[in-house]
Amino acid sequence: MILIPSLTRAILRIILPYVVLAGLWILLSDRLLGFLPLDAAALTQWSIYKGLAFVLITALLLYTLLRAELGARMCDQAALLQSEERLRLLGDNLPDSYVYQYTHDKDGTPRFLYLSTGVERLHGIKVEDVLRDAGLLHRQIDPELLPEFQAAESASLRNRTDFMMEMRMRRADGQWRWMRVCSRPRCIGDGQLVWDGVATDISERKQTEAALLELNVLLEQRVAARTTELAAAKEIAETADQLKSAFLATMSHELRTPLNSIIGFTGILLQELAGPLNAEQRKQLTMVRDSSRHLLDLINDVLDISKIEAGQLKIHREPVDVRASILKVVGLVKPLAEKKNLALNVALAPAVGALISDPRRIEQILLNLLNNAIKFTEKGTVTLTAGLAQAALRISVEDTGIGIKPEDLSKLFVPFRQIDSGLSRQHEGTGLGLAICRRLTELLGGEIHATSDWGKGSVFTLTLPRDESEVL
Amino acid sequence: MNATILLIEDNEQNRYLATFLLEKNGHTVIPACDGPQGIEAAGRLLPHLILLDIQLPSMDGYAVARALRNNPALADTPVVAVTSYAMPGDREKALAAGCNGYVEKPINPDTFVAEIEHYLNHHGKGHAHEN
Repeated sequence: MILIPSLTRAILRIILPYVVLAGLWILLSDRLLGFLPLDAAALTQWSIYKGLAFVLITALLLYTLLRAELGARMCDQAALLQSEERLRLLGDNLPDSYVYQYTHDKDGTPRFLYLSTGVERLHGIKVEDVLRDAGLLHRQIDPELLPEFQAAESASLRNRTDFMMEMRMRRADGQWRWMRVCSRPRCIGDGQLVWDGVATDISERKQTEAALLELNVLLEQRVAARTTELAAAKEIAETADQLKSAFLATMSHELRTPLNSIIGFTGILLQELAGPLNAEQRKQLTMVRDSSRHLLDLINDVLDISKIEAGQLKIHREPVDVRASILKVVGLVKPLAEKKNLALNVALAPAVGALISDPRRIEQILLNLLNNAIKFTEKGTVTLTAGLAQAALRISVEDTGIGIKPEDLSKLFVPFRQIDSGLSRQHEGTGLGLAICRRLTELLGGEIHATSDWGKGSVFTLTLPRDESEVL
Repeated sequence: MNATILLIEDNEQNRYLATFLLEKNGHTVIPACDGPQGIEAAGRLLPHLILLDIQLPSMDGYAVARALRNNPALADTPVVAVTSYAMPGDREKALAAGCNGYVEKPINPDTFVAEIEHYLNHHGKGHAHEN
């Protein structure tokens, strides 16, 4: 088969030039002689010389042509050898790999057509041995993987699809290695297939994978363990939280039950439902009633602040009619102000309208501020001013009372820190009101501040965001 | 209006206090010391209104309220929870259990009777048997 192109080439390069030269010689040489002025004897002599010259020239021509042809042939041979060498080096020099050609004989016996020398490094078997008996290589496959290997090979054979498998193989020296083998089948006529393939040692990758897998399992175990720990911790925390809530509820109940009797029966006596009272009895019972109400306030405040600290006080956001809330609270404290002959002024800017917040909490804060202002003011006025400042609602409660010393301003909002113990007797309070106010304000996303001129009065300013989106 | 009111309350002093206030205002009070007693008395006497303490021994007020609501004969009888609980959600829990209203302890003797009478007037008259 290889001869056909070179024969064609020989015909073109050698025989054709010879035929042309010889043909031209035969056609032209006798005519040329005819032009010469020669007699018959001389013509015979010249014809002999012409014949000799033909042989000579032909020999020269053939020599030249053959030389050129042989040179070209040798060049081709060298190029072929070089190319073969290149392919062999490429195949033999692949790191951790070898290439192969593989087929099944007519009787189905597997046979390697070619193997690069890597097979000797990676399997410890000589190339020529494997070429003689493919079974040498197949017998290295982990017996457990054999069914999978056979299935993969028949699938490739049947469907003419790529063969790909990672298999564990036992090298001739007994060492186990992982090989990744892949090949592509091609048809070489009458249904016979040849697979061109490459086999690569992937033991290191497999080791890394296994280590990674192990690490993953370890990590999963650790995560599971940590999750269990966290769940347990959460449960403990939740139990503690529930205990705290239960404690608050119980304490609230236990403290209020006796108070219920005290306030209730004092009320009944003062209503004279159980009989008439003299002036002194009325005065003393009024003291009992006022003290028990104060105790109730104290319990309520402690409960409130505990609920806030425990995160149990929930803010219910809804549209609030600020104007209505303010007027409601002012209505509640009005009797107190009238009792002390204090002027109670309200100045609401027209822009003050609705906002999204918790009306009950806003009212609780305002009630506290107004109660305080009235409590600590002996004469003059208490003024509530409400207006808008940028994106906020600002409500101030100003009084002309005793005021607060500059050094005491910072203690104002701390629980149980009513300023000046001397005053606290005169002005009964729980000492928790402002602390509750500040915490509630923070829950509503606002701020509360106090300024004061000692001896002249104080101003408490509550600032609340108008837009719910500004409150997280 | 003279009404028959069932008072379910375990604390003796509180029971006495509420009874005194209500009876002074012309109502008849049937006392019950715990849930089962109260449920039994309610079914038997069909009062105009039931005052129900929430923190009761063994069977709490929410359970009592649900049991009362399961009796069709008491379907229109107002049940008012009286409790010193002020924890978040207590009011909602009492209403969800079937109470019509909620009076917070300590009761205010000046307004207590008026509050109870409000529920009597707004929830219609029950089926009390006048003995």
